[in-house]
Amino acid sequence: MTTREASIIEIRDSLLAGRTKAVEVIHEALRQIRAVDPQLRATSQIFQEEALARAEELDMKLKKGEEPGLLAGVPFTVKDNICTRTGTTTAASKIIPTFRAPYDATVVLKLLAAGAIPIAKTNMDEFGMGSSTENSATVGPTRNPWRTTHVPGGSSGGAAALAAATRGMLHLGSDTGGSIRQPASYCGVTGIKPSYGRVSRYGLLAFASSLDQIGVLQSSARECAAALSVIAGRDPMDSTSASRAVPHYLGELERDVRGLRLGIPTEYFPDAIDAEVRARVQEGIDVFRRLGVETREVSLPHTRYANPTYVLISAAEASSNLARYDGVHYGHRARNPQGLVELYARSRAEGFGAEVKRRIMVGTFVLSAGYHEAFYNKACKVRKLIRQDFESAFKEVDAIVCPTSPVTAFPIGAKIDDPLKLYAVDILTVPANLATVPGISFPCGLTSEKLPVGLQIYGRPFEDHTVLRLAHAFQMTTKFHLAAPPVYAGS
Amino acid sequence: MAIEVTDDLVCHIARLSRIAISQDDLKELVSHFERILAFVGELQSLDTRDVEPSMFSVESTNVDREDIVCASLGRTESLANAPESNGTFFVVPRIVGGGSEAGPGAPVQMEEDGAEGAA
Repeated sequence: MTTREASIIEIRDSLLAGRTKAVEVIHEALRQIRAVDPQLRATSQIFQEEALARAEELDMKLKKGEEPGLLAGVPFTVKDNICTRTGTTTAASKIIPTFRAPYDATVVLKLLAAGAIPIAKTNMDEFGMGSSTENSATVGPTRNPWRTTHVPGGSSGGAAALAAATRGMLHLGSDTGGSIRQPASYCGVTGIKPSYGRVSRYGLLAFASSLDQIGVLQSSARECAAALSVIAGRDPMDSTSASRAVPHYLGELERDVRGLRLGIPTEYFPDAIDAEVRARVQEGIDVFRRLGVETREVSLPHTRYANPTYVLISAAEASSNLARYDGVHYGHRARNPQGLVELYARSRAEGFGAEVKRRIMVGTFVLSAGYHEAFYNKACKVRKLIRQDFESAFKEVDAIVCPTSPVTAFPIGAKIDDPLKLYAVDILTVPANLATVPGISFPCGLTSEKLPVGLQIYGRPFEDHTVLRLAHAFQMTTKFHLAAPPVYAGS
Repeated sequence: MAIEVTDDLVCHIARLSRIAISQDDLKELVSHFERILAFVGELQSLDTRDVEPSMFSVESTNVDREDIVCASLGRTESLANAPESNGTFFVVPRIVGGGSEAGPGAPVQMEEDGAEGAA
C-alpha cells in the first residue's frame, strides 16, 4: 500500500535549507492536481500562472534572506465559497457563475501573509447545501478517490478528494453541519471544524451565519494544527470572531494524552450505524484506551432532536443570507422582466439549484408571520437544550468520541433524489455546529469494501488544541491516516 | 401545530422568497413541505416552556471602535459584478411611474406586494 507522510510542515524547512525552490514545489503540486483531477473533478479552477508568479517572488525573497513566513511555499486550495481576488468565487452556483470577489477572505490574506500560495479552487455542493458534492451546478459531481463511482461526501467534497489524492497542500473548507468532517471521513483524511469564532468568516459566502465555520482538510492532525495556527484569531472584519489568544497548536500536540477523559455518548451509536463503521470506531476507542486515555459513557439526551433543529435554523438563516442574490448587485439576471419583483423572482428561479430553492423556501416559511414561534423559535429553544447537553457532559469528560457519519461513502446517485435521506448522513456532525464546539474527523480504518471510516472527537468550545492533540496521539500510534487511495498522485 | 400544506400556502411562501415557481415545481414543493414538517414535527413533543432560545453563537457584547474612516470599496469595484450598471448606479427596471411596477408574469402568479414580508 502506498503511504503518504505529512508534508506541508516540511516544505518551509526544505525551502529555507535550499533543498528545493518554491517554483519546484508549485510545479509538483500542479502536476499532482493535473494527474488526478480528470478522474475526480475536484477543482473548479487552477491558478497556474498566478501561483508560479507568486512562487518566483517568494524565491527572490528567500534569495535576499527575507523572513518567508510560517507556511512559506505551501500550496493551498480554497473552497469555492471563500472569496479570492484571483479567479472567480461561485459557491458552485449558477446565480453567480462569474463573480470576481473584490477582496480576499481574511483566511486567504492570513495564508498569503504566511507565505502560502493559492493554487486552485475546489468543488462543493451549491452554497454548501449538500452532503455529497453531487449538488454542484458548475462542475458537476466530484468523485471519491477510494472508489470513483462513489461520492466524496460534502459539501467540501473537492477539498476532501484532493486532500486524499495528493500530498503537500493545505485545503480550506467550510462546515455548517458537517461539511468538513463528513467528507474528511468519506475520503480518509483529517478535517477540523474549529470552535465557532475561532476563525474569521469574513469573505466566506454565508449559508447559516450562526453555524458556519472555516477549517481545513489535511492528511494529519499535525498539518491541521500548523494550518490552524495561521488562520485562527480575532478579525475586526468579523464581529463574531473571538479575541481569545490563539494557543500554540503545534506545541500542544506534544503533550501526553494519558489521563484525559473521553466520553462515549450512547446516543451516538444508534442501530442505524453501519456495522463496520461501529466496529472500526470501537477499535479506534480501544487505541485511546491503550494510550492511557480514560473512557466513560456520557449522555447527550437531546441528540435525536439535533437534525430537525439544524434543518430549521440553517434554512431560516439561509433564506435571509441568500436574499442578496437578487439579479441586481451581482450574478445572473433574468431577461426582459416585467417589473422589479419579477426580476428578482425569475433571476432567483433561474439561478439557484433545486435544493437551494427548497431550503430558502423552508427558511422563509419558518420565519414568516404565524409560523415563526412554532418553528424557528422552537428550534432555537431546542438548540439551547442541545448546548446544555454538551455543557453537562464536558463537566465529566475532556472530549467526546463518536463516529463521524453513520455510513461510509455511498454510490453517486444513491441519495440525491431524496433530500431527507441525504440529511440523515449528517446526524452525528450537526450537533457540533449547534453547540459551537470544535470537531475533528480522522480515519480509523477501512471497511471490507476498502472505504474509509472516520472517527470524530468533540471538545469544549475553544479547546481545539485538545481535539487536535487526541487525534495526533492516535496518528502517532496508528497508520490509517497514511493509507493512500487507488487514485493517488503524491508518490 | 398541525398545518395543511396547500398550493396557496406554498405559492405564498414562494412569493415571499421572491422565487418564481412552475406548476411542476409547486407539486414537488407541496410534497417536500409535507415531508419536512413531518420530519421536524418531533420537536413539538419537547416541552420548552421554560427554555430561553439560543439565537446567537457568541456571548460577546457590542464593541465600539474608534470613529475613523477606513478604506472601503470604490464605485468601480462595487459595480464591477453588476449584470447592469451605468457606471454610477445599479440599473433596475423602472419601478416608479412606468406603469409596470411589480407586476405578475412569473409562472405562478406573484401578487403586487411590497409590504408583506417575513415576520
